[in-house]
Formats: sequence, structure tokens, C-alpha cells
Amino acid sequence: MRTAAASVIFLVLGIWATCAITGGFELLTTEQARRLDISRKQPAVPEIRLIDQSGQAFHFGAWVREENKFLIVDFIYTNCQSLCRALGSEFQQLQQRIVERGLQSRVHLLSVSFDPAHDNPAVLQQYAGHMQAMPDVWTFATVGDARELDALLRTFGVTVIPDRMGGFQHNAALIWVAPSGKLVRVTDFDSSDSLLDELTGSN
Amino acid sequence: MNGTRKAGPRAGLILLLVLAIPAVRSMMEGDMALHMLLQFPLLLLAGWLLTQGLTEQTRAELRKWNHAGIAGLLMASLVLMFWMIPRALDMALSDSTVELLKFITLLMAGATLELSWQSAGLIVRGFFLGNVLPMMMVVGWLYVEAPVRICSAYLTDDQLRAGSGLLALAIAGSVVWLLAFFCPPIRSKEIHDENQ
Amino acid sequence: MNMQKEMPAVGAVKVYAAISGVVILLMMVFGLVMRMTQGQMLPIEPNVFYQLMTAHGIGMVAIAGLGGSAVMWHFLGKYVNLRAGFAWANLAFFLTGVVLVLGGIFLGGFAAAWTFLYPLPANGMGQWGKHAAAAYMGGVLLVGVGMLLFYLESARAIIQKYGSFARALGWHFLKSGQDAPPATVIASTVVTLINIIAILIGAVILTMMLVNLYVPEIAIHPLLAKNLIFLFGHVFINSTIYMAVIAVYEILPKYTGRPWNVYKPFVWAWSATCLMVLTVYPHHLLMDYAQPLWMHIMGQIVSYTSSLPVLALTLTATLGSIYRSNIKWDLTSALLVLSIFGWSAGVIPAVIDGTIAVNQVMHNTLWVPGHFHLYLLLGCVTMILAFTNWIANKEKAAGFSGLEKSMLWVFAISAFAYALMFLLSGQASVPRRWAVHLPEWLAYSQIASLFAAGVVISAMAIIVRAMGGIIRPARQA
Repeated sequence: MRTAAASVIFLVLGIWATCAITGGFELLTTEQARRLDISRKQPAVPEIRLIDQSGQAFHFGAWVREENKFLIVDFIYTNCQSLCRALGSEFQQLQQRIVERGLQSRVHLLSVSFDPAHDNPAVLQQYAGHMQAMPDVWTFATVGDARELDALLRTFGVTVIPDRMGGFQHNAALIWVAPSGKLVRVTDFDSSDSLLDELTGSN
Repeated sequence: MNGTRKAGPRAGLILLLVLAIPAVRSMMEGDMALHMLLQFPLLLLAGWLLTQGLTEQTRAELRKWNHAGIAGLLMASLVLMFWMIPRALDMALSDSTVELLKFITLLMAGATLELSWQSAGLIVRGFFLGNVLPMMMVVGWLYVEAPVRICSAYLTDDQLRAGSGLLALAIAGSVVWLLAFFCPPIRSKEIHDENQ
Repeated sequence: MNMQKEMPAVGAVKVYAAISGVVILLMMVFGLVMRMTQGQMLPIEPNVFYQLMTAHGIGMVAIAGLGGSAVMWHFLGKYVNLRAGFAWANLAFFLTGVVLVLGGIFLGGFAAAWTFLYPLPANGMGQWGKHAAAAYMGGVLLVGVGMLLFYLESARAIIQKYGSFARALGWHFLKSGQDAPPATVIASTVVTLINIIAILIGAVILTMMLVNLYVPEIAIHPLLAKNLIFLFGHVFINSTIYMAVIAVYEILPKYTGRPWNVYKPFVWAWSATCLMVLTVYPHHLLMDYAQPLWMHIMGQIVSYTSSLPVLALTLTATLGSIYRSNIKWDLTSALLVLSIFGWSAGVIPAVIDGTIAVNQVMHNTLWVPGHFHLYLLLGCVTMILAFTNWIANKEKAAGFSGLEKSMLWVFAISAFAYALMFLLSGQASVPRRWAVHLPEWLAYSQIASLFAAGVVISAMAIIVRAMGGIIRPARQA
């Protein structure tokens, strides 16, 4: 009898803890938790000073509101050999689609480097050329002050860890920012087409 | 008998203290395979050894709550399953409260294993293994298969190694368990005791 | 304790047998409805057809498992000390699982066939949602948990009595020629071992697919998933007949007066079966070109050999024990002998289908249902019906009334003809798992429906009669 009581207590505790950590059995990974969190809380873009590929400095939040466009953000570093390439080609395709459909005034692409030590404006400029980025559709930037990088990554739910070969591993997500300056959605890098329709169609 | 009674908990305490040293901790937790396949088992072992210091009285009292080891093995399997959830693993790295909880619960799981394994018969043990081994295989397979990093704090290579390790351990465990049916380590008297 | 020895778990076994009888009948009706739908004799929508097909498949597999367990539990309990609590616990898990499975199918619309092949359950295309798929797979998992408890108890009891599986399988007898374990114990040990393995593998793939259902980013290797599903499913369905055949070993000697002796080839055959049952499933994947070639070849070779040792020995021993034995014929003994012929006949199309060249054109036709309906309907289900009848007659030989004789013949002929119609359809390249058939196939389905009706009517007569015998004494007591 006591054994049954103890077992039930353990079982209830176990289910409670599992439920708590999986957000009610909906998610297993930190990445999912982050995405859910962002789409629920919709945090605002922080007022951090960024520098774009032409060396121009701007305040992130203010800039988004000023531009009054949907912003699709990814995080990269230019020395990257794997994931960022996939992200890059995804952005190239998005750029093409934006131009084809004449959405330049409504959607803008932003790639932020989390490697400010290496990726200065000149490097970014070269990378943008390599990617055939059009300046009025696709902006490259990095933080003006490396100490602000953590806050930026935290808001956008990006973890970056150095791998053992001098590079980084990071989660490859596209983060969608509304014209109001709020983060609204996080998607995988191969599912953005339908969302483009959805966001621009409904707004 | 008395000697092991003392040596066990002492070794357990030393093991625990070593595992708690920040440098050892960050070394083990910095690598996913070490984290899951070394730190976890060592914490279980520390819990197991510490429990050997319990007096016969305490054991008798605990046994009332743990008939045939059912409650204890249930708890141990729940703890093990919980810490195999990728998000729990991540949080243990980013949140020190969660890390403390990880230490405590794994020690307790080791303790309940020690308290329950002897009194559990073939069936309760089988049920425990029948839960934990497939769960390890599932998680191991998950880590191997996942096209993306499941744990934010670890590299993909790490994940692959940890996954293969879990799979190998679970398969080896299953084989040993099934072979035990052919040359049972449990003497028939013990099985008989369970009947009563 | 002694009481229990003489009459092991009478209550549980009776409830198992009664539930098996009712469910078998219901599933046969589902089968009839499906064949009539294919013959355009019933206006059933395709989505309902696929739900029925899923329910018929999983229902028959599960009930063959439960009915087989009843046989094994009943006779194994005469040799070792089984505790009835585990039979009841298994039943509780079983019924809970069945409720979930049926809810997933008929309320949730789940219709991905009983084999729940990845990634179909996660892609209902509007026919079913992920919760329906989860209910189905969770239900199957629960049935597995109950069965695991059941087999752990039999493992414990066998080891307690015989010391180890090695002795229970009779390996010492191969060396010394002495002290052979009874046939029932050998068969039960084999089933216990292979089903514990099968259930563990089933638990892995089911849990994996449940995770995938809710976290679709975590994809599964589809070929590996298929291998695991068939390893689990094929071993489980095979072992139902290895459990049910215990009825032949135990009951037939009562009619012939000749004991079922264990001799060395019998021990060899059963031990070899352990390995072969686990390696035979690749014949289900012969059409998967991505599968490694060596597995195809192994699948073909093992398909040729796997059923043979146990079957051949059981068949010859059956014939030997009947021959000039003055066997007393009643419904039970007649069904038992019929089941051995059904099992033997079912192996022939299986061997043909196990041939790679044939498999590539035949495996997706009705040929395969033809094989397993011979094997399961005339083999496994017939053994379970014989067992049900045996305990209904209080484990004694009974009279053989004219009605019983005619029902037996109707059952035997229509079941055989029914399976034959599948085989003929397969030969005519009629695909399996299609709700709607082309006009030129209708005749096959319509004739098959006629025989299906014959099976349902005769099985109903046999089962209803047995139910009366099982339930009545309980009421009087």
C-alpha cells in the first residue's frame, strides 16, 4: 500500500516535471522553446547600434520602425563554410522573389554577423558582393560594440558556440520582425516562402 | 561487512566531491558524450555508494515504502528519462538551480537503485530495464538522426557521439539482460522468495 | 498454491478465451464488409474502408496474441507456477490499449493500416490528425506493455522451475538425452524470448514515431523504421501461432492416447526457430531497393527455412499420432487437425512470395493476404477455436453432433476457398489494400464475399456454442 502511494507520488512528480520542461508535452528542445517563446512574447528589437556594410551606423530598433517594412533576419559569420551558406542561398532566393513580386517597399532582408572582430564593414561589403546582394533589399551588418552582442543574440534566441576549428556553430533560423519592431515568428530556413505570402498578403 | 559499510560511503563522498569540483564539472559537461555517458553514471554510482552507509533500521523503514523495489526503480527510471530530454540537458548547463537538481536527483536515483535492486525480482527489474533501455535507444537514435542540433549547447559532432554511445550502451544492456535468462545470476531461492 | 497448480488461472483463461471469440467474430465481420465493399455490394466510403482495414489488421493481430496467450498460459501453468495477477494485469493494459486504438481509428479517423508505416501516420492529409495517430500508436504501445509483463512472469516462472532458459529449451537434453522439458515449456520459452525482444523493438519504434509526430523536425530514417516495424510485427504475429500450437501438443494426445514425446530434432527445431523468426522479416522489404542486398538474400533463405523445422516436425508428429490411433473425433480434435493442415498449406504461398523474383511482382497483390489468411485463419484462429471449444467442454472429449460436423465442414471449406480467392486474385495481379476495385476484379471479390459469409456463419455457430459452455458453469458456481 505504502509502495503504491510512493509510486504514485513519484509518478505524479515525474509527469509534472516532464510537463514543465516540455511546455506541456509540446516541445523537446531548447530551440523549440525559444521559438514558442518568441512567437508568444513578441519581444521588441533592442536599441543596439549596428554598422552596415557601407560603414554607416544606425540604431536597430529605430531603424526598423523608420523603414516600416517586414524584416527577415538571419545570423551569420563570413568565414562560415556550412550553415551560413544554406542561409545565404535561402536569402538569395528570397531576394529574387521579393524583386520579382515588387515587394521591396514591404520586405527587407538583414544578415547580422556575430563575429565583429573579423567581419568589419569592408569584409561585409565584399561578402555582400559575393552574394550578389542588392543594397535596397538586403543589408549586412554587425554590432558596433562587441559587448552588446550578447543582448542582441539573447533577444533573437541565437546561441553561438565556437567549434574546435576556429569557426562557430549556431542555430540556423530566420527571425521575422514586424514593422512595429517586434519579433513575431521564427522559422526554419526552408519554409519561408509560404510565410512570405502570409505576412505580405495579410498586411 | 563493516568494512564495506564504511568504505562504500566514503568512496561515494569522495566521488561526489570530485564530480562537484567546478573544473571537473565544466570539463565533463563541456562534452555531451562525457556529460551523459560518464557524469550521469558516476553520479548514480556515488548515490549507490553513499547509500551503503545507511543503517539496517533505516533500510527496514524504507523497505515498507518500497515493496519489491517497485517505487525505487520507478523513481530511478523517471529520473533517467527526464535527464535524457534534450531541453533538460540544455537547462542543466544554463541554469545553476537546474544543475543542482540534476545532481540531487541523479544521486537519489543511484540511492534508490541500491535500495531496490536486490529486493526487485526478475519482473520488476525486467520492467525497469524494459522501460529504460528502449528509452535510451530512442534518445540515442534521436541524437544520431537529428538533422539539426537538438541541444543548443553542444556541437553536432558531440551529439552524434553521445547518441551512438547511448545506442551502444542500450543494445549491450539488452543483450546482457537477455543472456541472463540463459544463465541466471538470480538463484532460484530468491525468485522463490519473491513469490511469498 | 496446490489448487492453482491443478486449475491454473481458470478465470483469466476463460475471460481471455471469451474475449478472443467475440473479437475474432467481429473482425471476421469487418473482413466480410471489406470484401463486399470491394465487390461493390456495399456502399462503404473508401475512408471508412481503410479504417476497417486498419481495425481488422490490428484487431486480428492483437486477438491472435491474446488467444495464443490464453493457450500458453493455460498449459504452461500446468508445469510452472504462474501468478494469475499478471494475466489480469495484461488484460487491463490490453483493454485500455484497445480503447485507445479503436478511438484513434473510428473517432479520430486513423487509417494508416495496422503496420503504421513511417511516415504515413504523421501525414493524415485531413483524414486524421496527429492526436488520432498518437492514440493509435499509444494504444499499441500499451498492449505491448501488458504483454511484456505477461512474458516477464512466464520467464520468471520458467527460470524458477527449470533454472534457466537453456534448460527450458532442452539444450542439456541434446547432450545427455535425459530429462527433456515438455513440448509446452519449450514452445513457451521460445515465444517468451522472441516476444520480449519484439516488444522492446516495438517500443523503440513506436516511441520514436510518437516523438516525430509532435516534433516533426526530428525525422526518422524511413528504411530503418520499416525494418524495425516489420521485425516487431512479424515476430509478434509469428509467435501467436507458436503459442496456439501448444493446444495441439497438449490436447491432441488426450484424443489419440499417445503422449507428445520430445525428441532431439524437436529441440533443435525450436531453438533454431528462435533465431530464424528474428531474421525472416526482410522478406517484407524485398521491394525496397535501398535495403542492403545481403538482407534480401537472408530474407529469401530464411523464408524458405524458417517455418519448416517446427512445422514439419509438428505435421509429421501429428500424422504419426493420428495414424491408426483410434482417435476420437469431436469438434475440438477435428479443428486441431484442420489447423495443422491450414498452417502447412499457408507456408506454401509464403515460400513462393519469399522468392525475390516473385516477390517483386506479387508482394503488393492479394497473394500475400492469401498466404496469411491460410496461415492465420486456418492455422492460428482454428487452433484458438479448438482451444475455446476444449475448455468449453470442461477439457474432455465430447460428442460430435450433426450440426457441429456440418459447421466444421462449412468452416473448413469456406475458409479454404476464401483464402484461395485471395491467391487467385493475387495471381491475376489484383492489388492489395485497395478500397475500390476495377470492374474486371469484381467477380473475385464477390465470390470471396460469399465464402467470407460462410466463414462468419460457421465461426459464429462454433463460437456461440463454445461461449455457452464457458459462461454457464461460471454462472452456476
